[in-house]
Amino acid sequence: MNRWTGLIYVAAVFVFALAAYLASSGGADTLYNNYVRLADAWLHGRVWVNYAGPGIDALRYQGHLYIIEAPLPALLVLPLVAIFGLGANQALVCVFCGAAAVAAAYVMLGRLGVSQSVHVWVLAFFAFGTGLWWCTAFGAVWMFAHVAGVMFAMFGLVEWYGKRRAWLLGLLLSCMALCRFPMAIAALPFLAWLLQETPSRERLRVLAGAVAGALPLFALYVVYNELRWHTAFDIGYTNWYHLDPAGHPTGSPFGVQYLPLNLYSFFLLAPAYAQHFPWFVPTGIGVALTFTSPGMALAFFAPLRNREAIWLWVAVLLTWLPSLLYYVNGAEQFGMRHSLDFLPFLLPLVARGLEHRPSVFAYSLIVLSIAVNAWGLWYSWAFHGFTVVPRR
Amino acid sequence: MKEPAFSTRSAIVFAAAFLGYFLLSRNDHTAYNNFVLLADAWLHGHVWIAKPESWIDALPYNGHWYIINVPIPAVLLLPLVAVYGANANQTIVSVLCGAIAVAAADVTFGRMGVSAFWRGRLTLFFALGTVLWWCAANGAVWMYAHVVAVMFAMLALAEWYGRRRPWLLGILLACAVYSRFPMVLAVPPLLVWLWLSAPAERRWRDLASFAYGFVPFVAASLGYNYLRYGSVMDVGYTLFYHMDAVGGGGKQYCTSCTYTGSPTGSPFALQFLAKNLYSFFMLPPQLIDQAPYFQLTGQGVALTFTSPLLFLALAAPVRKIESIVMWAAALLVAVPSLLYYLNGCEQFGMRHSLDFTPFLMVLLARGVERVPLLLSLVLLAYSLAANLFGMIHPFTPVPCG
Repeated sequence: MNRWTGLIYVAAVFVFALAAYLASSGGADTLYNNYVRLADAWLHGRVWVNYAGPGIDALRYQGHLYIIEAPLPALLVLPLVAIFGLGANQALVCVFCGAAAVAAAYVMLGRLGVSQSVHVWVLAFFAFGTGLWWCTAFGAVWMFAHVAGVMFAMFGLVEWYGKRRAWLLGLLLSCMALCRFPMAIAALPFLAWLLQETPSRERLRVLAGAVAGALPLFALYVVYNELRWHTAFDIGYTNWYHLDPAGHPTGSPFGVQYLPLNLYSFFLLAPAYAQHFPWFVPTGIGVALTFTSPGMALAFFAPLRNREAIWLWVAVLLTWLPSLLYYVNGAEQFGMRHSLDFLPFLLPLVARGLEHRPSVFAYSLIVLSIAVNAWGLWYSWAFHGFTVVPRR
Repeated sequence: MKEPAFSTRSAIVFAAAFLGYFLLSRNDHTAYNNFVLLADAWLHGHVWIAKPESWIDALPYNGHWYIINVPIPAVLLLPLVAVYGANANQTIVSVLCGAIAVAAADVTFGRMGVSAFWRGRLTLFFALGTVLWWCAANGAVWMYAHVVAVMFAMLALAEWYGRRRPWLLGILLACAVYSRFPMVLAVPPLLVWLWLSAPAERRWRDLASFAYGFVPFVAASLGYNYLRYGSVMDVGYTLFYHMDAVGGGGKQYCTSCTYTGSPTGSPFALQFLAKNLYSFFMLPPQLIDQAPYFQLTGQGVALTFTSPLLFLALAAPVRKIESIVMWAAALLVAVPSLLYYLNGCEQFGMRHSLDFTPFLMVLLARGVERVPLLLSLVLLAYSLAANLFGMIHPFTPVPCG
């Protein structure tokens, strides 16, 4: 396949995903448009927002309201906000990012060198068999942050399985981390992996390149924190936890005491049973991956005894850890949106697993994942299942 | 050389299973000793029992009370009841049957040619990673019936992979059927396989031989029905269902139910499908905010959470006659439970799953080696842990339905 044909394929995947996600979103905007408000604030020369309506996670601190979520998604809506102001459609940008993530996954899977069949099946699983579909369809602040984080992670993996330029990996990593903080931890295994595969005389140069790529955005983030909290550290989430009725007046939002809740959420939280149609009803606080994305189990099919599998599993487990210890499970969701933090690193393992052990059983898991996520989306629209679903 | 039915290995497996089950049963007598009451009635020359306690599933009919469950488990109790009368311990027989089932499973795996690595692990899974453990140690009427049926089904499978004597298969399957009636639906696919696997000139003879073992039980059952209900049809479950409604007064322990029986109609209906699918695949334990964090309820827990290793049965080769027959048997046997008005409530796990577990075990034995070892071992360890949890932590009673 020549370069142009390849580009056409990538564009086709992007357009298809965009159309599917756009249809799934109904083109509707979200009430939880924190990032639009933040971008609007930036364009007006301030870091605080002047509105904290219901559902907007804004922290009152020293007389102003601040958006606590990681800020980079606001950068993505900035051009649209510059044109449409507060009327900019955050959900539309979320759809765009979701489609870009799928196109990047297409390229990444191609670079993995898996068979065409595995390529298509795993791409379908990623796009429609995981929480990515539902989060992309309902681009509220939390979901948009996840989708943007996944997009940058997929870009990073495309580069990883491509030229592996250290500065670009650093930059994409900082983008990803500044969409979803837990994803920052993936830097450790990937850096270790990068250095392990770099000749010793070049290691320092590669390390410097990665740091140089990551530094500008992290430096800006430190400045942003100084402007908001008058400290280099981001104390937003902790302060929010202290004020949140679900939280606690003191301490950290991360604690071992929250592990059972999150393990339950990831693995056991079933839909509720209703005695009338549609009988199975997603709960307001999500549905375990066991039901929504059993295809993820294909990652276990990947051969374990190689460097790639080991580092990818380390990345999965490390990026998962904060969600396992966090005081809420990501409530108001279908599926488990926190799983999107580790999904990008799991995806190559799923592809390797399916390549290694293709079977009716394995393909069934993907089909089941897609069917359940389609049901979740249908239920969300048909029954206005969650507050983040726009009212039509 | 086929694995012998009786060997040092099978004796050790039986002894270990018996000891494990016995210790966790604590040699308790169950209050739900319906089959003891029935066996005692038979020994006194009648098929009805004296008016029982309110918790005994017994049907008042034409001035007498009748046990509605199919009778083979009571037959097994006859020797003990002959000695101890109504004080005979139903649970100990349940434990004994559970241990025989485990030994039979081990022999079956051996005869199937399962690798040594997986043979022991699958036997362990069957014994301690399925609700067979909880049911065998519990020994109440419903659980005991399941355990007896599983035992006969596993013995039949051991014979199937051994000498495959049709008359013996007939007897063993009849015993399984008259322990848990849904198992009757496993007979047609197994008969088809018997037919197809026999040389053309022997087919009719094999079928007749199977009938020779099977039909006497059917005849006895018809006679037993006639003695109870004045009809060869077993109307017990349907009549019981008609009384098992709110305010029906048939069952006093379940008066808080809101979704039990109905004064008319059949206990099997499509309207119960969703509830049973939910029970088999989704029903989770509840999360509580203190150790052990997971609270079991009497509604049960889905197979997804108690015995996920069973799902690797899906990895069995699809296009083999063995897989087709076993899937047909498992699915057909599951149909009555999927359409029944109760999910088997007052239980740990899903006891109804034991109706099809023997056939899934064969599929699992074929499938488990086709998935990565890590996944299989993780699911095995989890299943063992989940069932241990169920043994240690009692469930909170909830209304049935």
